[in-house]
Amino acid sequence: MKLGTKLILGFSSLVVVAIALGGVAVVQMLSVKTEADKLATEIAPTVEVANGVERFSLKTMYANRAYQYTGEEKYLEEGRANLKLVRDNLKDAADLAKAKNLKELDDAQKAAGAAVDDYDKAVGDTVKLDKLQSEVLANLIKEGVSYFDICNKYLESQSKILKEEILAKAEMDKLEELFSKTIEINAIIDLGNEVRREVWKGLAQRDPKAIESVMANFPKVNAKLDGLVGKTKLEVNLRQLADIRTAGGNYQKQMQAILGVMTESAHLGITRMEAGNKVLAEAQKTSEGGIKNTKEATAGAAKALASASTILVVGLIAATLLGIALAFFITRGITKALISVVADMSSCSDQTSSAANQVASGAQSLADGTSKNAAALEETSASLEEMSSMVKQTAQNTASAAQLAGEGRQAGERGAAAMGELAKAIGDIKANADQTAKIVKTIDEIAFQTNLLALNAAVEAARAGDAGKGFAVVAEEVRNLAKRAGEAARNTAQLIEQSVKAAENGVGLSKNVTEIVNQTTQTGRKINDLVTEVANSAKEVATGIEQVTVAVRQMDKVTQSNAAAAEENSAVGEELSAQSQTLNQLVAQLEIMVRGQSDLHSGAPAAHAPVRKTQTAHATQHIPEKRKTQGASRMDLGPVHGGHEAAKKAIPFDEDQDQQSLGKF
Amino acid sequence: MSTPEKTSAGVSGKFLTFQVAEEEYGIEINAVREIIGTLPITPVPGSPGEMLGVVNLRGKVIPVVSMRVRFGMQPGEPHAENVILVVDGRSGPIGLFADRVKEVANFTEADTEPPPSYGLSVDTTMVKAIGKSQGRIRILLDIQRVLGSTESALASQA
Repeated sequence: MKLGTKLILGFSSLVVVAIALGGVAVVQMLSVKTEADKLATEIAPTVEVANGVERFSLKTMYANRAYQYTGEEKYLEEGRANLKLVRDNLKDAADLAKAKNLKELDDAQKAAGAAVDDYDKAVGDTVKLDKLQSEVLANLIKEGVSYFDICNKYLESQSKILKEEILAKAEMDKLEELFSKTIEINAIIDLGNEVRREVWKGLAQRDPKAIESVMANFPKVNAKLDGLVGKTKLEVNLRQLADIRTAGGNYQKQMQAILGVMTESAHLGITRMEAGNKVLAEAQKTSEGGIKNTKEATAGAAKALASASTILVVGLIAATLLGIALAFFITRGITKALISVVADMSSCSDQTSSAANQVASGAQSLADGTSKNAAALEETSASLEEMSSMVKQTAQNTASAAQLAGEGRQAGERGAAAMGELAKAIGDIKANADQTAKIVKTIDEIAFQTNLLALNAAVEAARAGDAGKGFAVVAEEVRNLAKRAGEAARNTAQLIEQSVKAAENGVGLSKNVTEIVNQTTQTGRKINDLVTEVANSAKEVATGIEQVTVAVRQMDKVTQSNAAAAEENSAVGEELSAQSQTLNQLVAQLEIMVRGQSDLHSGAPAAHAPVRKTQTAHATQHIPEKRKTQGASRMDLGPVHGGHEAAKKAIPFDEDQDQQSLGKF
Repeated sequence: MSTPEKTSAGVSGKFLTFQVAEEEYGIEINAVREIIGTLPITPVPGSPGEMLGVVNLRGKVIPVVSMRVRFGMQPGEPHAENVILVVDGRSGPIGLFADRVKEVANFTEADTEPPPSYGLSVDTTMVKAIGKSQGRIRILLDIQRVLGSTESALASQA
């Protein structure tokens, strides 16, 4: 698989996973957003409006209640202002319900609106009732004052009468009657006071029962009045008592009016409270519904967010694992391929480097060699001219040599004839020696037979006993002679044998010499022919040498241009060497990039590293040295060779090639 | 003519010495009739192994016995110095075929010793004495014993 394909596949799979995760997250977020929008645009305003309604309703109710208790106008105004705010909020709620099509809110708003209208009406009634109550109270106070005024007048008149009677020293009965009248009227006053006290107490406590409880005092007062009327004789006092009765009746009427007002006021208070409570209930219901909706919405959002976060976490873990796996495999695949490529590149680059060095040194040596060639060619040209004159000299010399060779041939032929004669003479000697050998053999046989004879004679002499003693001596002498003759014959035979062998050798040698002489003669003849040919050839050679001289001059020119070209080659080779060093460094950097610095020293290709280091170190020394050498003199090859030797020591591989290239120097 | 006296100390007298293989032997000179060079020897069928054949000596046929074979050796190649010693047997002359004839030598009693009981290359019963003169060893043979078995074989054939 291609590197690019591997990367695209890896990143594409990661992107697909990321898009899937993102999509899930976006879907979840959108649902959360919907919930949040609902929360922001429906529920929260609903709750706000409901809260506003509730708050202002409560404020209105407090204000109106305060008004009810105090009767101050400012509370009434405040209640009205708050009620207006309640209405504004309700209007907002209606708008909101209409805008968002919220049926529940609309229903609640309508119900609350109706309740508010009721409340408003109740407040209006309360105000009217309040005014009525004020009037009734004023009448009540007026009636009460007149009641007590008349009572006091009656009491004063009775007291005056009593004083006058006392002074007049009236009868005890009369006094007692008067005194009882005073007590009665005081009781009536006390009853009135009690009524008045209870009325104010009932008003203050808003308790109609207190007022109702003292209603029973009026019959008591009327009874007491009836008693007094019976006792009273004065017209004035009778009128006073009637006025008291009237005032008490009026007071009772006003009290009943108060009671009605109070009952109605309580009724209105309940109505108001009910209406207010209804508004509050609607507001609270709406508010609670809103809070409930808020809770639901937030719970849904939280749930959606939780599931989204779970999916995202799981997806992220999966994506991370996938990413790690992909990264591992892709990186491994890429790194593996790169490592092998880098290793190949490294070895190739090393080889290139050594090859470039060789090319550089080869080009240098070629340049030097070509220069040497040029010099050698000049020398050759000079030598050729010398050769030309020498060849001419040689032609003359060969002519005289041919003459001398002819003479030599004749001498050889004479020698051959002489050798033939010598061979014949030696053959004769051999024949004579053979003859002599036969004779000597005969002598030896004779000596043997003589010996036998002498022994026989000795035997005979011994047989003959004392008579044969002289004969035995003779026989002994004969035997000695025979022995000496035999020995002489044997010695002679040996000598003759040696002579024969010598003669045979002589014959063989003379044959050889004859052959040699014959060969010499033939050789001399050939030499004669050859020398003649040489003389002819020498002339042709002289002509050829002149042509060669011309050719050598051309070669000299060509070699000069070759030398220039070779120096250019040398420069190019050095440039190539430097470039290959750069390539080496680049490959090393790439290796570091691929493997990392630490791996570079521990992996298998690390074996390369020291070599390359050495090589690089060598190169940095080598190239300037070479340039310096080139600048100094192109014939001075010493330092270059030295450098190359050093390189050979520094670089252990390709030793054979190095030696071969050195060998050409 | 002095007859050799048999003493326990040894023997003395003239002996004709000859060579068979590398050793030199001697026989009493009185036993020798003559010494001749080699003659053409005609083999006789049915004769004992040591008998080479017969020769014509001046018109007289005499048997020739090979000393080498008689002494239990391999017969040697014939050469120019071979001789036939003609000795007197009990039933006439017999030729002894030897490798070489040496000389007529005189032995005193001091020059001879009795043969050792064993260790020689020939049957010790054929040896009369060991001659030790001139720094050499020469085996002096009893010719009759030498010829004994051959003659008896020849006689039984006759």
